[in-house]
Amino acid sequence: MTRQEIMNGKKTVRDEDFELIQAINDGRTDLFQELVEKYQQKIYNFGMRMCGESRDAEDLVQETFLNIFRYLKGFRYETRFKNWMFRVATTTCLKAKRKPKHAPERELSLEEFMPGEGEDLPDQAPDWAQRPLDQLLNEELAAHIKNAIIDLPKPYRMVMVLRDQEGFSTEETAQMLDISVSNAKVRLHRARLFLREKLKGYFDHDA
Amino acid sequence: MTHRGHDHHKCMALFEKMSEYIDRELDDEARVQVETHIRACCHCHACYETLQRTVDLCRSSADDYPLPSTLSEKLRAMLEAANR
Repeated sequence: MTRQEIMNGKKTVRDEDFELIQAINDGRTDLFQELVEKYQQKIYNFGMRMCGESRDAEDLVQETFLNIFRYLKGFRYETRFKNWMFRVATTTCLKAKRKPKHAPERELSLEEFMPGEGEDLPDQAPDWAQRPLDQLLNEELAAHIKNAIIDLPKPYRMVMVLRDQEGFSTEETAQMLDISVSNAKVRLHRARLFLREKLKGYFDHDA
Repeated sequence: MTHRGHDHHKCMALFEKMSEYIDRELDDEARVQVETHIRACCHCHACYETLQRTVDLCRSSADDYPLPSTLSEKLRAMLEAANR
């Protein structure tokens, strides 16, 4: 249960972690382990979705929790703790020198996904877009999707992971990445179009 | 998207808004415009369905990864060192 209060003229978000964090910041640093145990799975998932390699994801988890430990006193309860933690994780990830092998840093333009004028277009959705989801999604397809996301340039990948896999809102994602809401929307749309092309390729190849 | 009864620019304008439509982030007026267009344009309807399915698949494939067995211990040791 999360609620907002105004304390000393400032917005304060009281979420499920509020008391635990206050206790840690009041000197009970031994309780930090509780935060780690609660959130290590989430940060590891995020690391795997961003890096694709277990070793890199482990490094990201360690660096993220170390940064949280260092900077927790600076947490002002202006957002849910989980959002602040992901902000630390995304910053840590963006600063990481490691680059996955298949992630060229480039801009995705809308034009590359737009059909040209006069181009012959399908007048109905392909079979894969119409079949029930549970009949479609299997381990092979899930692995293909994960690889396709890793192939996205990092700024796009990060927005897609936060929005469509971690479940944050557009506003929350924009706040975490320190970008505008409209920029987050643009990146997400292009990332989805990129993934759609990869899925088309997968199903066309399969057909 | 070019086809009888619709101009390329109208379809392109919809193409740009499609994620916002899927995420229900458009205001009522824009949403109605998109819905009206999708109903009338089979190409845009097909485009919408493939993008919606892409989003569904992306969301549904976000399972937990198995945690490496040594991670908790590494974190504990790292925090003990940081706490000293």
